[in-house]
Amino acid sequence: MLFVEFRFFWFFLAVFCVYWSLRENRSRKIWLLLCSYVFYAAWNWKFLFLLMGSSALDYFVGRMLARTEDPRARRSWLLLSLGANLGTLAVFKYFNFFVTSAATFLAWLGLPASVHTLNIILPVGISFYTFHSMSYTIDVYRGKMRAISSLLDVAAFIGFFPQMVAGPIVRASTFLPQLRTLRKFSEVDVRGALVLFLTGFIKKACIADSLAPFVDRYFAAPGSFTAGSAWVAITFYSIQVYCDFSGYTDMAIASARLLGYELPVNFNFPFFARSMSDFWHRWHISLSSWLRDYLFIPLGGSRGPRWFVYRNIMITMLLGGLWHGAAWTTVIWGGLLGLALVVQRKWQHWTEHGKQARNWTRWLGWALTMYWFCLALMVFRALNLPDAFVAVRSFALFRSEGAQDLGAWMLWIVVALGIVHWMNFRGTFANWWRRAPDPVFAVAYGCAAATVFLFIPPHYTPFIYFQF
Amino acid sequence: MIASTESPRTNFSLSRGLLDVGIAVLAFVLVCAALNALLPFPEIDVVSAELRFFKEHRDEFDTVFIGSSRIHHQISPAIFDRVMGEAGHPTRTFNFGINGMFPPESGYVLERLLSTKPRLKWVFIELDELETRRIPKAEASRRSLYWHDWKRTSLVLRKILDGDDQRDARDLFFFHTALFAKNFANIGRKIDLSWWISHLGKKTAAPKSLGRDGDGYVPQIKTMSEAEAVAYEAGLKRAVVQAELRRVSPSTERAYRQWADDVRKAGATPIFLITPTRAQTKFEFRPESGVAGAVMPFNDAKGYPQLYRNEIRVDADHLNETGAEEFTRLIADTLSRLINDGRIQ
Repeated sequence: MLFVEFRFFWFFLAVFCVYWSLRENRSRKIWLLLCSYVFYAAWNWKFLFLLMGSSALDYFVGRMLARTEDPRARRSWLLLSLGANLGTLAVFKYFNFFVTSAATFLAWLGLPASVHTLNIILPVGISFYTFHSMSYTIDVYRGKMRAISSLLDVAAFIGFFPQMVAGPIVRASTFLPQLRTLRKFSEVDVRGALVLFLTGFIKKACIADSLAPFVDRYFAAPGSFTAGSAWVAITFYSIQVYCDFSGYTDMAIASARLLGYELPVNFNFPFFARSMSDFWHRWHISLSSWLRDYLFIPLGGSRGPRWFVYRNIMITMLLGGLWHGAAWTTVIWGGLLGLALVVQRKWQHWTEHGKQARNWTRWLGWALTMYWFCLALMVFRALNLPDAFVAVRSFALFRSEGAQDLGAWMLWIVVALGIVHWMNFRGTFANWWRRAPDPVFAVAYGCAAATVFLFIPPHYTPFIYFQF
Repeated sequence: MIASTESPRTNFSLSRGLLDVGIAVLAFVLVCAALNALLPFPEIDVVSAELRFFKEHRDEFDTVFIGSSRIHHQISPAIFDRVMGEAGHPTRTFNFGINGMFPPESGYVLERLLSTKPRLKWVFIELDELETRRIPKAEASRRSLYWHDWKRTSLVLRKILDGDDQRDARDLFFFHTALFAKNFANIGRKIDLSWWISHLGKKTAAPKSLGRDGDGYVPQIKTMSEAEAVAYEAGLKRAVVQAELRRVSPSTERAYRQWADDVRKAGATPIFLITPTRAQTKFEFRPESGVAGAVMPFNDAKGYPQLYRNEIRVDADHLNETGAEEFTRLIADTLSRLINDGRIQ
């Protein structure tokens, strides 16, 4: 079930009405858990057991961690949780990738091996809910939060439908306290949530899905297009992936807000980032902060010798790339972005600290960040490594590989979208709709929704991040 | 990013909330309806192009055949006009058969065709049960969406609810309701808007689907292979044995009554045509249904054995060019005989 489908509207309407009609917090949580499982089962009910198993195991590990003070026992319980979660991820997401990669490597060494891959379906949202789940046991292990005594709370947190399948990656310490207090409808920012939902809907259904056919056309055969097309395709793809994912996040945050829960902000105008580190503070914030807190810092973080820090950055980014998909293209994507972070650190070390950046260096920083992001995204989107090489060569060297043309005039669409995005960045759309009286807002919302429907394609396109 | 800068209201009232929801829904429905009325006809592959062509040449034709590929590939207007002319009833015919166009889509297109105010004498409508099935390949297409107005959707829904298979019925009911909702909400209609703007003042070329003579007829040249012929003959034998007289569903009757009335209002005579398919089901309207129109059933292997020879067939449902010519002649002969006998005006 997708947020942009009609059936989600009816599903959410039922969830919303029953949820707010229940008086007790416990009843509400049971209702939410039930609905979350129905939401997940609408995709594939068999994998519901995996989700339930993950919730039960981490609840149990949390309880066991609370019972013992012995460091060795605590570490063993944590390893059990990490092993089970990462093991599940490894089997369902990475097994075939590792096996085929190993076979290719052996063949390259002159040792051909016959390998068997498994016919595995990747459970939707597995990368997200395992991270939700692990954050709970790690935080309990670190003593950042107390173990939860209610299995219902842990299951409702891991399975909470707005954020379960594609984030934002919510920390247990952020969400569980919200679950423990009875939400009041009078405190819900309904108008803000409705506008945010519509904004997310526009981003996903009107913009991302409309750009997708052009992007798909280019990446199906990058070798037959002109260099201009490579620029058009990657610019479109960067907008598509942003609108697709941030649109989903907006709808997730809005749905949760309508039920009285606040989810963390996941995007903060990443296309206005002036450096790669700034970019990661603005793009998929919940993942980058998760990787920082649960991977980069435990590896040693920014402490220690410079090369040690660079190593930590590269490990974090390579694993971050691998998290995005079981393919070498995503690993290289992570590596390229990690490399940019290392170069930025080196540059900052060379140049004077604390000196006020000039205007032109800010612009240059922005241009270089966007250029490198697009270049890395070329590799990310390519269907395989040879295609990635062709696409990057066409983009970076401005070399036409073929005669087909997507039409450079289409970059005007980017300019138009850029202006709207910039106006939003400046806060042009932020509050005027709050000042209108309720009936006027209702009329405007109805009219806006009816107009938006004109611009969405007749068929649904799955969210890009569902495959991660 | 939409920032929440103001504190939410504290005095919530359920009745006011419901009123606001009602206002929003009303505004949504009104704007959708207004846009629906204002937007140009959807740009649907082949259908729109043929409708445009027909509108431009509407005064040139007085006879129309409307239906699926069984009309598109099997009715030759040139032969029909020649035979009718020889019989003393000159006609000028257009073949409005479109691949995959079954009722109620064909009824929707017929309505559009009649709205161009043509001067028609005869309208041949392919007779078949209302199609309610889901066609997986076409489900997400605009072709499956554009004809789902309330008039058509209500017919389909009523047929589904009257049906026997309740398990399938629920799925189909929601499927067609969703298509109606999508169509009403004008989903994806920006394409029509941009097409209309980009073609403003431009003359569009005649579609290829009109065939070499520009009359809508595209013959099929292929013949069946030996193995196909064997399978076809075996299937036909079974079908002849199982031949039955079946009354069309009440929803289908309702639909055909509607279309027959529309055709009569346009000053023409409706004739329902059943093409020579392997299925030997004889459709019949209930006497009380009020469907006024002659039925020409050619799906009768015993009555018309000449149309069921292997060498003139492409498959169980379609005739090749030779078969199409024979079939067209047969229709023209039948019509002129009916006119001469005074059984049809």
